[in-house]
Amino acid sequence: MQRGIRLHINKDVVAGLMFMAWGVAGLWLARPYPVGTAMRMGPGYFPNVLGWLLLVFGLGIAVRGALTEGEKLTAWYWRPLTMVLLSFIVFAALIDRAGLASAAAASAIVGAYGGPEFRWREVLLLAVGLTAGAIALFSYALGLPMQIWPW
Amino acid sequence: MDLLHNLILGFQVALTPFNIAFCLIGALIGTLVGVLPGIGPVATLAILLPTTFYLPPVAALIMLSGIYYGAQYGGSTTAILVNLPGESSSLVTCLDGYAMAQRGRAGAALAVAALGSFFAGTVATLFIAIASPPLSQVALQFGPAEYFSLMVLGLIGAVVLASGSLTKAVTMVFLGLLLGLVGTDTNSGTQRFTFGMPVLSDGIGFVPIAMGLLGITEIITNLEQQRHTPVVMMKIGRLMPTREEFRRAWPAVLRGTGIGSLLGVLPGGGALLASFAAYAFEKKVAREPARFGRGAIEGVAAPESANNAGAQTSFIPLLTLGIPSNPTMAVMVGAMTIQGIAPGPRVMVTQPELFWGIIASMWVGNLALVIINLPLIGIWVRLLTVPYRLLFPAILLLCCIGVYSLNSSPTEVGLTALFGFFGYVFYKLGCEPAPFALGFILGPLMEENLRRALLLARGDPMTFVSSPISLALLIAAAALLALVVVPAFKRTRAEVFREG
Repeated sequence: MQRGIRLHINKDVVAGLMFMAWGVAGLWLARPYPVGTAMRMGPGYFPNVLGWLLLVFGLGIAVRGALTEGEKLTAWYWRPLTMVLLSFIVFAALIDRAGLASAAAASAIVGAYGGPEFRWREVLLLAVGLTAGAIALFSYALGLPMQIWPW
Repeated sequence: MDLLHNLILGFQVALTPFNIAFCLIGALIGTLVGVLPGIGPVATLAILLPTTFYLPPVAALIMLSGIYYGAQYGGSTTAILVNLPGESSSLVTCLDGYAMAQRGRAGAALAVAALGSFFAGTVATLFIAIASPPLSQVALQFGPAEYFSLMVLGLIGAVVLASGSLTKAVTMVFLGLLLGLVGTDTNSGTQRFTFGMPVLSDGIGFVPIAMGLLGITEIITNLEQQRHTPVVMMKIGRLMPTREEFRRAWPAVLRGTGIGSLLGVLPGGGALLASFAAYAFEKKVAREPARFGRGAIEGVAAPESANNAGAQTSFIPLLTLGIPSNPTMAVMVGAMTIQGIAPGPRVMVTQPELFWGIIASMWVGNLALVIINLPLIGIWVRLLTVPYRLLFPAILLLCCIGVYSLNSSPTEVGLTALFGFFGYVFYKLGCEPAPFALGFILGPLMEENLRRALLLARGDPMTFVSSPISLALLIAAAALLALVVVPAFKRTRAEVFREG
């Protein structure tokens, strides 16, 4: 017979730890804000209450998760995740410096790289088409004040 | 004859060519995202939020609501023809709808779904028009204490009626509330959690949060699942239901409409809950439950009527109380805020043309949807053959430009990516984003009302129980929470969401 308690690592454990991290971060960042009293709440009252709630609930979720089988953690798929997020960052980095044309094209190419299949010719055509469409729609038709070219 | 007068006012607004055009655009986009699996109505609303900035308020809200109920029509099409739920609220329609299609009765299933939805939409429109004025009259009497209690009830209801782990959902609400505090504190002017960044001094924008958590995460997870399901489309066949099918379908439509209309109003309710509950109920009252899953027309008629009714009546709490009951409505709050409208009981008094215009447009939109859906069904289904690898870069670009165009701020584009990342983490850990979104929207309002209520009562917390309305709301909230602990309810809750 097996003795002792077997601890599991599953979705709930990690979720609980994540909530605790948010709680600690909230409490830490809220230190400078005066808490006040329940009668006259300062700007720090609500953040502190929520920080502690996150910490306590997070702990509860993690402990309960560790004691039960729970749902297994699943693998992360890095390529779609990073490429999709990068397509936003590339757009943000280029839009004010280089204009809409290059930002849109770069964002479309980077984003497409996160897809299941990446065919250079198809993606280049797609990027050119989307960029032209975006310029026509947003810059000309809707008249948004956006720089199109770097010059 | 106030009702008639109000509806006439509404139709005068809804039937201007400009507003009809946006009603149609909304219904078309809704059908489109309803048909395409992988993009839901919430994600679409979040993605299109920035574009509404350039529209007048009525047209913007008419279009957005058209997307929500339009998606309920579109979702049934793919559910029946290719056994893919275009929308999660059409999940149960797959069971009997696809079975009917296999027997060559796809046309009848589609016709019953569309006509049932239209009937449900008409009833729900009337229901909103009748129920809203008295509700908003009550809400006008609300002070800060009542509002705070109402929001507590709303959040608890949303958590109890949502699927998944309850504790995690509650904690997600707390997290949403915490992030909702970012920005300048209205009472003291203190900058909270802004890291000295000017972008954050007005709080984290709702658009980056909604788009990141609800939109981008959905795209990433779709890419990771890489559905390569070969699409085998069933023949549509004759649209006319037989007399026997008709006889079975119409009581189911009535029951579905009733269930959907009621469940839509509940906090946490809406299309999804309505369709699941209607299917479960239909199976319970059926004389031969064994027919379900093998092409029972009631199994198509009831949930499809219910999801459309529920989608529409979930506007009631939003329009009368200013409380969003599901994530779609939270996005609608965001849209109203962008337009400078504070949702709540005042809207009906100060902007009756906006209020009644939206309601009348729902009926117009439903009529348009029957026309869009039935004869043009072939075109919609052909859209399924557009590969996702060409579609998603276009959606990403639309998101980037949309966020950027709001404030010309690249930082907000970066924030969207950050929340896309958080959304992915939440997804991987089985934490639902919906309670988070509701907490985020309600956070600042809750804090403000709590502090104001306590200030008015000179710090006496009894103010929340001495007002009868506030007390009743809090008791209802406590009862809902207590209900969850009851094992029988727990089982039913799990059952309702497992059907499918």
